[in-house]
Amino acid sequence: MSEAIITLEDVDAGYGETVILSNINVEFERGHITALLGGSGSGKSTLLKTIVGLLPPIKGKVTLLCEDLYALDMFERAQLMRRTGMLYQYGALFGSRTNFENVALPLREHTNLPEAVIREMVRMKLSIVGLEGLEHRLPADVSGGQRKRVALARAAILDPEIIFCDEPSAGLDPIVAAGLDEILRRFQELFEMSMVVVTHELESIKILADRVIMLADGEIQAIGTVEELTDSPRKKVHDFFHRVPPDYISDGGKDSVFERVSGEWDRKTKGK
Amino acid sequence: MEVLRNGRSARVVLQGDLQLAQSRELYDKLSKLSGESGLEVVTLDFEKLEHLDSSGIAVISVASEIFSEAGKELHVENVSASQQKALELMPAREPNQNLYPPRIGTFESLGEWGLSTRDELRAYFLFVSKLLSELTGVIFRGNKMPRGSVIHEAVIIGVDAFPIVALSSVLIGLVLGFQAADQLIEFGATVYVSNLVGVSMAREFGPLMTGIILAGRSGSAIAAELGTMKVQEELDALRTMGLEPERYLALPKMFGITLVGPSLTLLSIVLGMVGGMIIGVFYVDMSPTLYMARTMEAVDPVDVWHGMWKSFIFAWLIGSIGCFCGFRIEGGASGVGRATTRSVVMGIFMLIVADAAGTSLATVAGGWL
Repeated sequence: MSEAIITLEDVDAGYGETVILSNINVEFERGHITALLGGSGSGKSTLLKTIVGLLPPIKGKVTLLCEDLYALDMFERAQLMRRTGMLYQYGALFGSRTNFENVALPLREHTNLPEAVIREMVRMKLSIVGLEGLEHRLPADVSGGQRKRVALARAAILDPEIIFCDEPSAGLDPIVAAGLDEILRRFQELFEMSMVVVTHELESIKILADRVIMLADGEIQAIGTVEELTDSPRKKVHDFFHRVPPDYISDGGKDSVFERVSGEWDRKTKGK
Repeated sequence: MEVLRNGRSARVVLQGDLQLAQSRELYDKLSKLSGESGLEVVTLDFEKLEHLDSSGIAVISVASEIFSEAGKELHVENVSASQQKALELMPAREPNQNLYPPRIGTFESLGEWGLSTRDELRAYFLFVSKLLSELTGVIFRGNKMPRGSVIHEAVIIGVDAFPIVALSSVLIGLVLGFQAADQLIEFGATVYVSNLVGVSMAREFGPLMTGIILAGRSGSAIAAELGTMKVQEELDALRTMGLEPERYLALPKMFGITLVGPSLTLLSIVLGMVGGMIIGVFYVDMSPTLYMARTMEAVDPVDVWHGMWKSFIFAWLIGSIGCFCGFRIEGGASGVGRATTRSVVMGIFMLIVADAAGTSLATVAGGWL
């Protein structure tokens, strides 16, 4: 196993006193793409927020890039977070700035590089995500997929050691989503970045993930490769990977209006 | 990094990392070398370089252009396969490719402003005509607005604005009274304070004050509400359900503000006079009865009528500008901010233009306006 880039030890995560995830113990490996997987409400985004310093854990220790994240003061944590990048679900681009300005922002704020070099770096990153020529458009003037690619270029502009991606392919058509997955994979290979990808898209997981961590019912259900989890005997994992509908979907019949109007219900209650 | 010179050439030996922390140093070194006379070729030696990131690649790309412009050569040597792969990421720049848009001159930007203002005015008049057509639909063809929406809007726009209009009007009356008394005391004519305050409040300050408060408070709220709805595609949703947003959303607001604008103005006129009376009684020793009698004598019903019809126009202007800015929003959250600001600026500006036009018209037309 390669070096751990993120470690969670006995972590309980949640909001206020509401515990969403309990007793999480896991390591994320350097140079790998790790998918955080789970259905809606399984706590994927909660765990991601805890890892990126937005949501202090209720209990336990989060180590990011060898630093105890929540033991650092605000300045030290800001320094540490510069070594990471984040791709938000809807891009989170600044609407009043052009794509170029959005991508250049971290460079202008965190480095003393000359403007010519900044422009060149932005050009390179935008070319990697296939968006050369759209530098001067506002985020509102490009498509959803292009917006996410601009956001990815921004997340990767400082060559971070880790990129966190929150639902990168949500809301995109399968072709655009596959393109984005390919770009993520390319970034990881070219710059040897580690990635943590929160998703529930099975297709994305198959293309991207070196390793999968599956969450459900407030705990880690399984850790392994896509193949290992596909063959897992655990019900939650099996159902997720084989798209088995949940139990709460009613097949009708019980106490239905039909039972009442057909007299069935009367017979049942009188019989009791 | 180390620079080894040999006649007309120099070798820069890169060591360790060439990343964000080191890139500036390399850039400065290469910029200096590009300006040195007698130096023709600079070679970057990658043999001892361990890590190269995109800032390093960008510096090399920019430096190669600087060297080329200076008539010099920049080469790389001992590049490993992975470093070559990284360098190949930098796409070659097309000739004269500029990442910044061309700078626009003063006259061009003036022309652009003129054209955009023309487009804006055209779009505004189109919007108002659409509102009027929807209005005729509601009045003559029985098209419906949401049940209770007019009262709901009137309460939101007007009743909630009542305290601020009331307080501002009393204070304006006070200030007017003070100013008038200070001037008239020179001539022993302080008894005319009531005339001055009464007529000013009825004809100008009542409608204008109310209009400005409504533009700042309600016009902006209308623009923000409709703008947010547009950003969230709620307006499109209404259209696809066969409901015109102009009728369903804008008209109730227009009716609401039309009901409320003149009512608040009337209130403002009366409270302004009360403010003046406080000065009349406590500052220039008039009795309340005398002050009221003189006010009744000085303020003609035409003065109040003048204030009322202006307030009706102001209300329509504020409402229609607020709705127009909201419907015309472009972009996301920042667009909502821009639309809100624009609705206030445009609203107050148009209010003052309409006030000047109305007062001029009344002066020209004589006593009945």
